[in-house]
Amino acid sequence: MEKELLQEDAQIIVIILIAILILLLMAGALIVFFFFSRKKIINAELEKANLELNYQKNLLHSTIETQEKERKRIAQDLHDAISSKLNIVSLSTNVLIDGKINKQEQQETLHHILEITTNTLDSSRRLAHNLLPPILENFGLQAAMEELCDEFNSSKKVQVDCDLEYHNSLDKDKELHIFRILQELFNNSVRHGKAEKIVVVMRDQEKITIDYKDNGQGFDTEAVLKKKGIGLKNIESRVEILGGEMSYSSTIGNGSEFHILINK
Amino acid sequence: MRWTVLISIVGTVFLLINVLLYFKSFAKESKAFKFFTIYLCSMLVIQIIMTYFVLVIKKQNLFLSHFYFISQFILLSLFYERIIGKKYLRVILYSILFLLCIQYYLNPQLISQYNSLGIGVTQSLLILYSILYLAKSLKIDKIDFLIINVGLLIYLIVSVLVFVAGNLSLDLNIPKKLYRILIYINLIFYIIFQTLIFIEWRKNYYKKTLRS
Repeated sequence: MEKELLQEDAQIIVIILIAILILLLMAGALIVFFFFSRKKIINAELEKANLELNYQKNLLHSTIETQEKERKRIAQDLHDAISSKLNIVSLSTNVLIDGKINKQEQQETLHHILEITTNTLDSSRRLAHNLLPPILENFGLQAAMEELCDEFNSSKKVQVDCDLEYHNSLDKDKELHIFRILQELFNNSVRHGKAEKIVVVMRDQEKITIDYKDNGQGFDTEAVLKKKGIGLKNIESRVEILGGEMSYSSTIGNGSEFHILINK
Repeated sequence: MRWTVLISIVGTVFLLINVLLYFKSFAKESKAFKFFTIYLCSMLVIQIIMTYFVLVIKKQNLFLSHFYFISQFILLSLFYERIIGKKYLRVILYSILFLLCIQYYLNPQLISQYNSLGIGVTQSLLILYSILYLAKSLKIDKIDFLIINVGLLIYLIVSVLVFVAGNLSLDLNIPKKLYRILIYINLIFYIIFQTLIFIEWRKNYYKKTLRS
């Protein structure tokens, strides 16, 4: 056999055998490579899908939580501002119907009723306004945001510096999200951050950018990453709905900064 | 009886079993599965005729080799077109068939030899398809015909060189004994290929057959 293999004419067979061996080794390596990569890639995809799922779950959770919180707040407001006042009106009216009081007292009671109804009317208007500011519907986002800034300014707790530029380039739904984001940011700064000064700069060019800065207590971004409050989650999910990007930076004692970028 | 013939008969029996098993699931499965089953059938028919020539007429029949590689190319191209899902595979199939027609027209005596060029080109293309399918399998979690594909890749790579070198068997200077090594290798890998086809059926289609 060996002798035959060494024959000149037989060399070609040897070459073919070697070629087959090399090709087989290459094919084997290829298959092994593909199988390992396949496992890796599929695991990575699976992990990604799981992360996405978890994120969606969290989002849903926080949405429901926010909804419940909001309902509770509205119920509380309705009870405090309207029901209790109307109760007094009802009691006073009963006293008037009974007619056991003199004229002067009647006059006083009527004035009292008038005062309370005026107050209640005011409160109900404010409640409705807080739920959905009519100015946003009627005059657009810029006016609504300016009004929001004025409102916070007039509360004297905080000084708000607004520099807004907006050319009505988004539709109404998106405008509401931006408005709510700003509202939430203000609320966070005042309620949690105890900020005294807030600067908001909004620009409407190729994209819409919002730069927000306060001088409040700030927060620990690492801790927030692990466990976000509803407010921040709410802002994030709104930015996501808008198809935008958000980044924030903050250190305790040095205020916080938010940058939001929204595609038109 | 020579060893090559014996091993070849073992391979044919394996093939026969696979054909029967695949036919059991034929009606319910996808078009790709059907093309593959037809491919197995055509291989079985050619194998049986080939064995008949060797055992009864005692003569090698190179004429059949043309049927073998052309039907293999057509049916496996259709199979890969389905599972890879690219239309250009069909275009390549038609162009290669057209070129083969021209080749046979220009060189009619090719019928009595191995068409090394034809076998080389068609099998290389099938190897390429097989690798393309492997690449496709990277991104899909559950993918059919993965084992068959690996079997095809290995078998085609081994057999392409054996068949391309087929005309050497006509060369009287080369000792038959040596050429037979190539035939052995081809036959052994053919049996491995058939085993992988069986494993694919057992893994993915056996339970489906039981359920029905």
